[in-house]
Amino acid sequence: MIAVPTVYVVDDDADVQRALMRLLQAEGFAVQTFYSPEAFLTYHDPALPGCVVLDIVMPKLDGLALQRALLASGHERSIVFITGYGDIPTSVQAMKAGAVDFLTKPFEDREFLAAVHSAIARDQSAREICAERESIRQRLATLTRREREVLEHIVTGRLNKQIAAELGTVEKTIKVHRARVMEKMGVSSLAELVRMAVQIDLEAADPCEAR
Amino acid sequence: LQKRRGDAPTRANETIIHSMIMTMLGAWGSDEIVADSGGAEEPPFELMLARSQTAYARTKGVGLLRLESQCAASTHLQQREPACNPWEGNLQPLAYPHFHRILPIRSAGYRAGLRTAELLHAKALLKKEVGDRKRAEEAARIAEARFSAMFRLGPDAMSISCGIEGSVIDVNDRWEELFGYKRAEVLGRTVRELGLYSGERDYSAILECHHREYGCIRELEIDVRGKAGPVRRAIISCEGIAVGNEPCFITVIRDIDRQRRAEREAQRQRAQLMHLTRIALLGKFSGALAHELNQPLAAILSNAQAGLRLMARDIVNLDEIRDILRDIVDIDRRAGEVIRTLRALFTNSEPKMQALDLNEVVSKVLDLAHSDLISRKVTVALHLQSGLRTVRGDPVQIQQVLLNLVINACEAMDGNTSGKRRLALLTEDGRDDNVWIVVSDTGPGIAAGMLDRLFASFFTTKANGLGFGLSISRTIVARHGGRIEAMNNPEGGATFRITLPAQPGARLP
Repeated sequence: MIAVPTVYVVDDDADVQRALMRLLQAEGFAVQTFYSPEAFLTYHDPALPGCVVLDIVMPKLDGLALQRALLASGHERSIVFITGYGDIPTSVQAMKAGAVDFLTKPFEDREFLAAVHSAIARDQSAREICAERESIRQRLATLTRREREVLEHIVTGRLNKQIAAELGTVEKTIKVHRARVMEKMGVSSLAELVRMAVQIDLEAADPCEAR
Repeated sequence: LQKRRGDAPTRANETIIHSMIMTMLGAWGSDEIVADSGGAEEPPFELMLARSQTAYARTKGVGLLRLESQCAASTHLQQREPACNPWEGNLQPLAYPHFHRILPIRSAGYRAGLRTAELLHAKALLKKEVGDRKRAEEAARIAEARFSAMFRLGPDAMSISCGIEGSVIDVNDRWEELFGYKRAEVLGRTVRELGLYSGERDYSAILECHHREYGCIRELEIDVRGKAGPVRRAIISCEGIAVGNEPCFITVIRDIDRQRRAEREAQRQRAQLMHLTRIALLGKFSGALAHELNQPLAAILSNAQAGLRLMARDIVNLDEIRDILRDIVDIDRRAGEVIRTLRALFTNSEPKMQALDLNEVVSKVLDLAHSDLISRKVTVALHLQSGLRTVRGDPVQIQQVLLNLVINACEAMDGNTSGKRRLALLTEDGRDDNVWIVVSDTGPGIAAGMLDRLFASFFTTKANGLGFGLSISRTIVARHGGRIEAMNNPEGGATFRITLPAQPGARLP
């Protein structure tokens, strides 16, 4: 990624907000601060890479609720939770829901920045995976209906002969379809094709299904 | 008056007149009448005096009175006991034309009767007096018996002393118990010799009373010291009395040592209870308090570490460093204030009465409860009246009362959906030189029939409540000369109002 990743700091305490902003800026991150999870949900740009530093205890919508809201909206962000008091059930809940880390205030800068770095890294890899999935889907969309049927049979491990019998055609035709699928999906081996199929979960990626 | 010239007065006339005058009780001397007596015809005279003195019957015919007078006198004399019921009328003498005054006529029988009556009256008086004396003697005997019983058996220590130095004449059993001396040991000795009062001022007050004739002391609180030594608190009353001709003093001493100690103990326990209630109250949001302190600590640490990072750079931006340091100082001060408030709430110190700004009290309580309110998802509407008058009070205790109300309100709203947990806090100059703090919530309100019992000790609606919060709150507010009331809001929820007397003239800028 070329763009400088942005750290979104969501904390209702202005002092903490400013202190964390200084620390993050000194580390070279772009920082945006929000006083409430609502403001963050309204104004942040899901397309920008980065992570969220989120205080778990806040009026109205709290940190966990924001985490759920982000998950539900499909714009998942890696989150570093910070809290004034280490409440184990809350931290367990947060970690289960995919938080990168759960830090109890006051925390050391190294600890904090390490958590932010790993959150950024996770965001980056998530973005890469997402991008790859997107490209697979795009390639998948170029397949004809017949080719897709053949693909589905290939990834379940069937032989050309079996597929031909299933689809009521000859083995030779299936061979041609298979070569076309490999070419369109941009892979050179069956193993690669299977990995791709696993990555996108073919059923879910059914073109008939609205996304 | 009809004038008549008469002959020279007869001797008999003179005698009669004289006698008559003698029967007249202390009216005037005889000379006055005899001096100008004139002659007269002879109207019947016996009407007047015949009933009493036969000697005068002979004087019949001597006309002294006019007929109308004679008739009236006659009627009177015919009554059964004329002596006791003297006739008084206009007696117009015929023989003495110059003597025409209104004379009371009283017979000799009347004199005797009167004397008898006097004597009877005197006898009755005497009899009454004898009776009175007997009764008085009896009363005195009873009074003495009562006094003696009271002196011996009364609940208080008593002594009788004489002379201005107060040498002891008698003491009762309770006195012996209180001071630890036997009666025989103290008779004839003075209070100062015995060293009964531990303070010199007490002596002078008591002896000064002795110097005054019939001086008295009412309920003077002093320290007394017995034979064995320990000083006890007592109330002393002293009254001068005369026994024979000698001025004496009766002294009543009530031992209030135990009472004072019990009062101190009660006060200490009340303070202890207040303190424990406060600790319990703070325990309710200890987690939030930790947050309240960890927040500034986090800000300080991160600021300082950011500063260090910035200073490690080749070019140091001093303005940035200065900003960071300023922030650290500010945050630290605020955190220090929270800690001071907390420490004051946690320690069991003597109440310090001072001029209090209730707006500040409310702000401090909200600072403490800040995190708790957030984690409970309670939104706060704050209306602090500017220029509020100050009250006189102990900041810690008033904070405790308010904190308790805030926590109660929050707990009452736990059952609400999160959008409907609203706490309103306001300060206001109330009526009648009072200042109000009002705490309102949007909870379920106070159930009917519970409003009365709300402030009673051990009354609680909470599963784990002790029922002290509001009871202690009421005690605190009452000690500040104020009151605390609870009511239900028409739109739902409950409102508590603390009323405290404003300090005269004191108003905040």
